[in-house]
Amino acid sequence: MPRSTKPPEAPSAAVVSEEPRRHRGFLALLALVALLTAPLPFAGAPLVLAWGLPLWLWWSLGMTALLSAVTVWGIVRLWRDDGDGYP
Amino acid sequence: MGNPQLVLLAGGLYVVLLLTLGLLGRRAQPARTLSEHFLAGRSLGFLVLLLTLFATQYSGNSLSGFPGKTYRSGLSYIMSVTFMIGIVSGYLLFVPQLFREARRGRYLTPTDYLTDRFRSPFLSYTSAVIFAVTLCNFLLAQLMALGHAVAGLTDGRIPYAAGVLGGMVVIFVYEWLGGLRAVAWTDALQGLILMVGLALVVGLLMLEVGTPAAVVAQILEVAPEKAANPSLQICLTWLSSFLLLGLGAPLYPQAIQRIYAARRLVELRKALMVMAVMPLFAITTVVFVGAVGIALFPNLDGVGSDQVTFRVLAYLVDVRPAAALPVLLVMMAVLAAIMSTADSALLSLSSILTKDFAARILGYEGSQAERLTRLAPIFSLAVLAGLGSLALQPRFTLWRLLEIKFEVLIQLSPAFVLGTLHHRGDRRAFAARDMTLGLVAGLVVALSAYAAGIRSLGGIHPGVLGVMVNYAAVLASRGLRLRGQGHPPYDPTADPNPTAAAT
Repeated sequence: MPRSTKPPEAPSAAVVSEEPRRHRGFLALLALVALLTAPLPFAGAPLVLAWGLPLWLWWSLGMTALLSAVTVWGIVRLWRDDGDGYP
Repeated sequence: MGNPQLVLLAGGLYVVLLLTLGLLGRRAQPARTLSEHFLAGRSLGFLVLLLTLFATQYSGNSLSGFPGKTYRSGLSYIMSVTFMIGIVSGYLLFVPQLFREARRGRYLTPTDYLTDRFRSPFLSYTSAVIFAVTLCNFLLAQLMALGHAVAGLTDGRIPYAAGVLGGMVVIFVYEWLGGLRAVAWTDALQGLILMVGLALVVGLLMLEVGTPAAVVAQILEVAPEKAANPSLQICLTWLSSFLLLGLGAPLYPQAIQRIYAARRLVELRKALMVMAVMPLFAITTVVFVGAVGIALFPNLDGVGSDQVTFRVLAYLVDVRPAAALPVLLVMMAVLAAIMSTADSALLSLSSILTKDFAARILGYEGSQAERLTRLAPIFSLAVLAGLGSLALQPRFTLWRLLEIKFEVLIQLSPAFVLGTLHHRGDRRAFAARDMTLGLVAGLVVALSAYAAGIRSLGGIHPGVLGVMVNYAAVLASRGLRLRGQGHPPYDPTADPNPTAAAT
C-alpha cells in the first residue's frame, strides 16, 4: 500500500474545539447512567409489580430514557464545529 | 397470511417504487465519480440522513430477531432498547472529529481515515479485511432473511430461492443506477414504511391483546420466569451488550459512510439527536411483540420462537380480519428493513473492494482512483454472486465463522476513539505500532475465546474482554514510548504545545 507523501501537519494550540467526549463530567455521567440501566439492585430479589409492570422494568426503562436524554444533551450542548477539533 | 393477490400487488408496487428511485438517483448525479456513487456527493440532508440511518440500523433482524430473543430471554431483553441508544452514545466518542477529518481528507471508506492517520499498510489492510468480513456477514444474513420473508409473505408462491435471487437483482439494479443517492432514498422510503408499520403493530396489539400491564399479567400466569427479576449474570450480559454494541456498531462501514455523506454538521447532529430517542419507541415496540408472543404462544421451540413476529401477526388477522391490510404493511416493513440493510451493506462492501483493495493494489491515488468508478458495479455483482450462492446453499462452518463479526469489528474501536483524540503532530498522539499491538492482542483474546467455544464469560462477551485488553495494550504501548522519549507520564489536562502558548 503506497504511503502518502503528505507531510504531517503541525499541532495547533490556538483553537480549541468542543465535542462531547472532551468533557469528563459528561463521559462520567454517561457511563454512570449506562451502568444504572442494568437492574443490578433488583438481581435475586423477589418480583414487585408497580402499575402492572415489574418494578425493575420501570427502573431500567427510566434509566434508559435518562441515557437517551443525556446523549441528546451532549449532542445539543457540547458538540460545536469550531476550529480543527484538537485541543 | 392475507390475500395472496394483494400481497403480490403490494410487492410489485414496492419493487417499481424502488427501481424508480434508482432511476431518479441516476438522474440526480452530476457526474459518475466515486464520491458521487458511494457518498451521494456528500449531500445528504437531515431527513434523508435520519431515515437512512434509521433504516440501516434497524435491520430485518431487529424486527423479526429481537422479538424471538425476547420470547426466549423474557422481558430482560428490554436491554436491546438500552444498547440501541448506546450506539448513538458510542458515536459521540469519535464522530465529531471523524466528520471534520473526512471533510479535510475527502475520505470515501472508513479505512481511508486509518490509512491517512496511521500510514501503516498492516493496519489499513487488516481493517479493510475486518470491515469486508463484517459486511459479508451482514449481507449474507440479509439475503437469507429476504428469501424467507418473501416465501413467508407469499405463502410459498414465490419460493425461498426465487426470493433471494429476485431481491438480489432488484437491489443490484437500483444501487447500480443511483449509488448511495438511490440507496439513501430507498432507505428513506423503507424507513417511513418501518415507522408506520411499527406504530400500527402497537395500535393493533393494544387493541386485540391488551395493554403492557395486561400482557405482563398473562406472562406471569403462563411463564412467570420470563418476567422475573434479572439475575446478576443477565445484568452483566446487559452491560457487556451495551459495550459491545456501543463501541462496535458505530464502526459499521455503512454507518461511517453515512457520517461522511452528511451535507453539513448541523444536519448530522440533528439526525443523531433523533436517533438517540428513536429506540425508546421503535425497539420497545419490537420487545412488546415478543412479550405478546410469550403470552399467546408459551410453548414454542427454538425455530418457532424465531417466527414469533409472524405468528403474532397471523393471530391478529385471525381475530380481526380487518387487520389484514395493516398487517400487510407491517410485513412489507420487515421486507423493507431487510432490503435497506442489504443495499447499504452491498454498497459499502463494493466501496471497500474498489477503494481499499483495487485502488491500493493498483497504486491509484487521488483522481486516478476515479478510473475505478466503472468497476464498482462489477464488484457488487461479484459479491452478490458469491454470497447469493452461499445463501442458496448455506454452509454451516462458514456461517459460524462469520458469526463472530462483532467480536472482531469492536477491536477497531481504539483506532477510531483514541486515534481521533490528538493531532497527529501532537507528542501524545497514538502511533501505528500502539494500535497494531492493541489490535493483535484484542483479536487474539476474542478469537481464542471463540475458538475454545466460549460464548460468554460470566455474562461478558469474548469481544468485550478482547477490546479491554486492546485498549490496555494501546495505552501501555503509548505510555512506554513516551517514557522512553523522556516525556513525563500522560496528563490530559497539560498544554500539548507549551512553546506555542508561551510565544
